[in-house]
Amino acid sequence: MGELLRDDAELILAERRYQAIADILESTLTKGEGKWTYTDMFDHVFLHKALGIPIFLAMLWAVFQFTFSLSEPFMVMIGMIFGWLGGLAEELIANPHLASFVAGGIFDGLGSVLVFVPPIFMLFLALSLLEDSGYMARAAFVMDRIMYKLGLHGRSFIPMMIGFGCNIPAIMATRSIDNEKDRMITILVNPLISCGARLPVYVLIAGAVFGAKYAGTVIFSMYLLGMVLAIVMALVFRKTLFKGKPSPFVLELPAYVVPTAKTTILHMWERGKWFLVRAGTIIFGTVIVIWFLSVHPWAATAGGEMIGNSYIASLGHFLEPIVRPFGWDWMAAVALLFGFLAKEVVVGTYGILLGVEEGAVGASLVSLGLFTPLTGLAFMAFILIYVPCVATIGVVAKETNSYRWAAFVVVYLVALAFIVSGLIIGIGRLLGFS
Amino acid sequence: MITVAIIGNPNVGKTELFNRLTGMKQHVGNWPGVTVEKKTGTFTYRGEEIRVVDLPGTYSLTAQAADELIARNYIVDEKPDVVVDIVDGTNLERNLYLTLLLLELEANVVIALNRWDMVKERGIVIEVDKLSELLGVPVVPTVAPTGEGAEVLKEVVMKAAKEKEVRRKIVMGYGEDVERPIGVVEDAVRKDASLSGRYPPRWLAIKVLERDGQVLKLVEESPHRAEIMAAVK
Amino acid sequence: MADFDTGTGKTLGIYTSALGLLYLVFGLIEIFGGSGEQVPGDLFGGFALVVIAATYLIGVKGVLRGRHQGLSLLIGGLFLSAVFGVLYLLIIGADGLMYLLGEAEELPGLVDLRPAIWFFILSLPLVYTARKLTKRITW
Repeated sequence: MGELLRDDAELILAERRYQAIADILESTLTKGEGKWTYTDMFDHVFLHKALGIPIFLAMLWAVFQFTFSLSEPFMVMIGMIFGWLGGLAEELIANPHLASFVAGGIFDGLGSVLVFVPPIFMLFLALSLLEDSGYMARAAFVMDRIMYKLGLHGRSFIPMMIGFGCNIPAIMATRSIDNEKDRMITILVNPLISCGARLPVYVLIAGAVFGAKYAGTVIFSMYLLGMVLAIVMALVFRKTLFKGKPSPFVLELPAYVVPTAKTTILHMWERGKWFLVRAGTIIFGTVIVIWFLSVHPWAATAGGEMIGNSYIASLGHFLEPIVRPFGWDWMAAVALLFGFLAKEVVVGTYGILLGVEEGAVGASLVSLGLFTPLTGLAFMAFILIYVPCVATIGVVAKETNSYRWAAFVVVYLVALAFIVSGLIIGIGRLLGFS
Repeated sequence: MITVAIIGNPNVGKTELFNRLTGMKQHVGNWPGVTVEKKTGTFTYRGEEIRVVDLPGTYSLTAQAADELIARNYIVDEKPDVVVDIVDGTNLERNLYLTLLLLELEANVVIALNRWDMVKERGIVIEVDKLSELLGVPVVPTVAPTGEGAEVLKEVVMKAAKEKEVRRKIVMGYGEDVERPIGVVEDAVRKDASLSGRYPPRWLAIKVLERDGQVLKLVEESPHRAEIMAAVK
Repeated sequence: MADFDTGTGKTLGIYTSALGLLYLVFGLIEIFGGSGEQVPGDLFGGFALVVIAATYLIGVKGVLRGRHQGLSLLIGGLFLSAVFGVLYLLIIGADGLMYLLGEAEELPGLVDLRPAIWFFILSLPLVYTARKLTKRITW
């Protein structure tokens, strides 16, 4: 960095200050006839004192509505293809072990995860649009107003938005926060921002227990719950572990641009690719393990027909007491356990354990009485809060340079998950839901 | 008592506005150790007494010039509740430079957008709300000779003094290439709790990079000087 | 001092207030449980309609006076109207696809045209007028 600043730092800095002034005046000052630009006009609305934050929330709702509603038919198509392939495999493959592996492991397990390619790509498409157009920077600016009051740094907001995609790049993005305390707080709360991997679980559970009509509202509430919890926890950390004030917000408002199809799609692909890579690696690996445990001992389960006799059922029954108070069964216990590796696996686990076609997983969750609206809601909240995934914890360790902080994140998130889900169940039962 | 410092470039109507605010209750003396005139005055607003200190008119806040150093030291050492930055509305390009420096000092700035009458006369349009939003400080249009806006200014100053602690701070970014070294030096500076407690760490970091004489001297005295200077390298 | 012709401003202002009120009323209905099939209960969807309403209504005063500030809010409102109008149109398209896939009982019909779509269509004349007023505006 030296060469640039060694001798003429003063000059360079002065120059940059004048540049900043020019940028500010560009959008606030007009000489002569009072010429307005479109940038001025949109800033007047998006940075509006009263409207700024509501507009941001409305835009967020549009993003999620876009994601859920538009991806539905595409999910159905993928589900149909996998269902058909699975049936074909069962017919054509003679070896019962191999047939079970292909039908149960690959098509029911991995297939039920891959079904979620459309919503995840749609989410990334919408987020890329917001970012590339220059709106996201305005949203950060507007949110800084309340974030600052709460002792949070305005820059924390950008990692939060990135976290809606994936917590890993979000935590890496905190490097742009210079102040160490601000940065630590932002890292510690980021796992609470609901990432794309959690979306499949919400879609599955909310769709099953709340029906298409209310699923969108419930899922969006999960995202809001995540944001609220992140802000609350940040406030707690600010008051306890990292006392002090947030450092000043650094002002940077990029120009608005009409995003081109090419850059937006590239942007979407770059982020979405991660989901495909995960599906091919960690998710696939975990799913195979779950399938294996669910069909063995082979004789006792009759090749996976009687899942109650399988190893995974024993494991689940062993863990069940922990989740029983929430009204969840052993399958949920197993799903949560393996979900620690990657959240999408939760969906894959149900795909294997229920042994039904991708499209039918949700329906059987309800018909088998595994979830009621109340226990389903608590389950979604638990999924939202308890530990994002192994990879995120790894990044926390790397970025904070400490395994202790990584362990701290796991502990506080699990504790918080038990508290919040417990509250949902407790309050729900008081209100007469079951 | 609330203390308000008034600062601005030379010839922006600072003295006129100072007189407007304080009326006849003024006291003229010298800044300690130098022959620069120091004017203070008081006024009462809604039953509260407010002390006003007139800082020397400057374009910048470097350590080289005596009056700039007086102004700067007063702001960092005495920490006035509010700093009213008087800005010539017809020459924002030059005047806002001082404003940015004040924001870097994390002063509780209120901008008096003076010569508002001239601004309107010349057909200049300033988006006051947006300017205020972007800089994160209140902006009050004023006309010093007629006293237009003076009452609003008083009210805004009172409000700013009360909300000093919750104020949202905004500073400008220097661009990634410069922000990186600033961040490195700032982290080093923060290790010295007493130094970073007295002065805004980001400001110290910027001044270290600028080789500001006074700040370098402060760093010399710090037990963490080796780390800080290593960060500059 | 007006930035554009206040005569146009008056027409625009009246139309904008009417549109804003429509958004407000239907937004509130959606928030508080909806009414019939045409206006389904939708908490956040209703909230979005109320936000659009607020954007229009806050801008009305400025529009009547022929100020840029008002015009900005009007254009911002139109932008939001378009976002939600197009969004719900796309959703109808998705519902149609669901029908073709055999996942839905019936093709989406007129009853599925949410208020956001009707109001988006109603806001189109404003786009035309606003476009005329902003002809000389650059980015």
